[in-house]
Amino acid sequence: MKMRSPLTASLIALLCAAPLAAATSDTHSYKVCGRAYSDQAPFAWKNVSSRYRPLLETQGLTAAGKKLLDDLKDSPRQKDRASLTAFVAKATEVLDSGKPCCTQFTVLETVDDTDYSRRLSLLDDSVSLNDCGTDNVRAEQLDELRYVADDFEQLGRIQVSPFQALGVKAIQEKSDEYDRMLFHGFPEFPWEALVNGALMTDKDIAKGPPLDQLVLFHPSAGAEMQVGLRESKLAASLAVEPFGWVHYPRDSKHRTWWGVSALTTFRNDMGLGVGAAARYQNFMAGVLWHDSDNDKRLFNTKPFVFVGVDLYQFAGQQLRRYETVRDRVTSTLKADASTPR
Amino acid sequence: MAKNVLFLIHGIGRNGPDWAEGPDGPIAALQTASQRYVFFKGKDLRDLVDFVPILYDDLLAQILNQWQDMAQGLQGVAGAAPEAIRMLLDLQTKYADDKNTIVAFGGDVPLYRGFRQFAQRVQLRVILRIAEEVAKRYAAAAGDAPQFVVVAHSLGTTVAHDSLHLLGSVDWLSEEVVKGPCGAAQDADEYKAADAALSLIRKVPNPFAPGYLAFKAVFMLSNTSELLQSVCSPENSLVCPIKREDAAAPYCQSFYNVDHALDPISKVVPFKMPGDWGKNGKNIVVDHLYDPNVHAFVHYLQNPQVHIPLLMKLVDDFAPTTEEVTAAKNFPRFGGRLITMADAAKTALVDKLQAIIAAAAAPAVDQLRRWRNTYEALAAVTEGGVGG
Repeated sequence: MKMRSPLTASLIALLCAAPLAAATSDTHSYKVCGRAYSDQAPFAWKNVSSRYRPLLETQGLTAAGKKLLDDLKDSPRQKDRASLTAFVAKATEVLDSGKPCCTQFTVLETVDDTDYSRRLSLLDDSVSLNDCGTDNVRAEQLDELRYVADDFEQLGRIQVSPFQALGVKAIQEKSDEYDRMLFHGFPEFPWEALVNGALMTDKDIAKGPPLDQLVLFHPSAGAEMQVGLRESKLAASLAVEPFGWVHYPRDSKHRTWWGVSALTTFRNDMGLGVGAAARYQNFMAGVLWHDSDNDKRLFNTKPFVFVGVDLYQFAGQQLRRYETVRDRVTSTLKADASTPR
Repeated sequence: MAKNVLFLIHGIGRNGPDWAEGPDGPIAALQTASQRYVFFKGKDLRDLVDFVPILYDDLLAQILNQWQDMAQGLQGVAGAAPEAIRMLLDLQTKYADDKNTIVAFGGDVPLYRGFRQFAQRVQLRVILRIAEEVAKRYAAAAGDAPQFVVVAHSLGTTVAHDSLHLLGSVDWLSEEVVKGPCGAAQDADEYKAADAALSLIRKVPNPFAPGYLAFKAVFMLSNTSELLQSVCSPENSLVCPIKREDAAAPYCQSFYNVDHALDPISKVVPFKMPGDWGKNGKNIVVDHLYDPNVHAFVHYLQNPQVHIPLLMKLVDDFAPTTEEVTAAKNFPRFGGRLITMADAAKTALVDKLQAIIAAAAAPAVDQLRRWRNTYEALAAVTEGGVGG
């Protein structure tokens, strides 16, 4: 049986999640024709959610939205037919487009640069919320359109919310993978980071960090010994990989990597060594040849085995392990000291 | 209604975890500014606005630390290396040794612009922070939900621009499309549910796309995105107050490009607002002088031309009174630390800044080098870091 992906399981759970918690309200909403947002208004979400949310969940956004519009058309407060017609026409267009919804219904605010007066409108300026009429005769109607627009936004939020939770998880995973690669993975020197970055594109960000990296003139420390010689000793050397490749297996999520490289080594007591190496995590092993008999020929003597370590990551891991053990020992000793005998 | 949310994104300089919260930070500056208005008198802005500062500096500092450690770790064996390798390792150690100075003096700019891996890591930090807050508030909303405002400064304008564009344009969930449902017969119900879930995901590959999410306003203070943007140009960006062809709705209701007439940093490659951005794409130019560091985040916020529209976007029923509008128009040009400065000194400061601006705009010099030269020249005037 194939395992369901964790994110798919999360989506199923979220879609069956309990009703949303109510938000608290305060008084700092827009005022439409002098009226602040009120939970008591007939079309305030608190009063209509039980009518439209089930429709959203069973038949989708378009059905819930069209029912909302039908109820709006029947409202006795919608006296000016021109405003109502403009609102309904634009809202229907949004619903029928099938495109992501519903920030199209957000109250649009334009602030004048000179006197800072505020102009409010809905749906691409098709309905002005400032046009309150003589003696505020249109206030009730326009205020109601504000609530209906808000209801559409709320339906859109309910619909997209589970996906946003998944989106956050996906982005978090990519961030964590990047941290593993940059700070715990193959330690790139600046020139390597420059070249490897140039090979990426910006849209790659959704896939997370790259699975493959070039190795370029990568120095590391190691030791080598000539094989088959009784008197051969282990000698320190600096390895420089002029070019190579590192791969992060996809399933490891940048926790593991391996690679192969051309290898050169430099020692104080011998000329250049040339060969090849393979790496797994911080460790590297390779085979190379030096002109150890000084006959100006490289491959006619016994080879050298090289072992190396990318000290930065390795040392960091050892240090973290040591600190964990040290802390445990320290706290155990403190607990022992404070225990009454 | 729930409180509106302000995301703050810092620029160059040393920024710790509490960069926005301290007495010299932008939240305190906005709080001080708000007290000029009767509406806010005696009120704490935190009771009206949710502030969400976003930090990304630590990532770049960690990279510099790592480079330093890597180079130092090889010093014992580097003696045998070829000259070129020794030089590179020496440079790496020296560069990372100066990291505090480097970061305070704008070194995070080449790290962001020159290294795409680091830029993406920074972008993911900003994107994740914004996505988390949006998702949390959407899930909690029950009518009259909060709206989201972004204010960014200096390098932060580029980081904000890139991050917002990617948040809105990338299919964050599309990878899940390739994961199949359960296959065994006894899991038929689970198969149907998983398949239904997957088909829904295919319809919503990006739950932060325009139409699902919009920003009420984006304020760019000392906008460097024309010089440094790595993702796309303003002409094609989602970070604009108009609806792009493939988008369901505008991603930003309003876009404020805020510049100081004497800020040299924004003059290296000035941001030019595209002509089709309409009435909600606004250019604000201020020229007040309350500190020699005219580039500073808090310096921009001191001017009413900046903080009035910002406060209006954050608190939906705030509007300045007629008297307060008049006072804003008459905001004194000189104040703050410069109030006791002699006229001759003020003139000299203005002249110095104008000279730096002239050099900043010199076309013959490479853009990043010009930026670097400008930054150093301004730091000399301000006697220290230019961030904040």
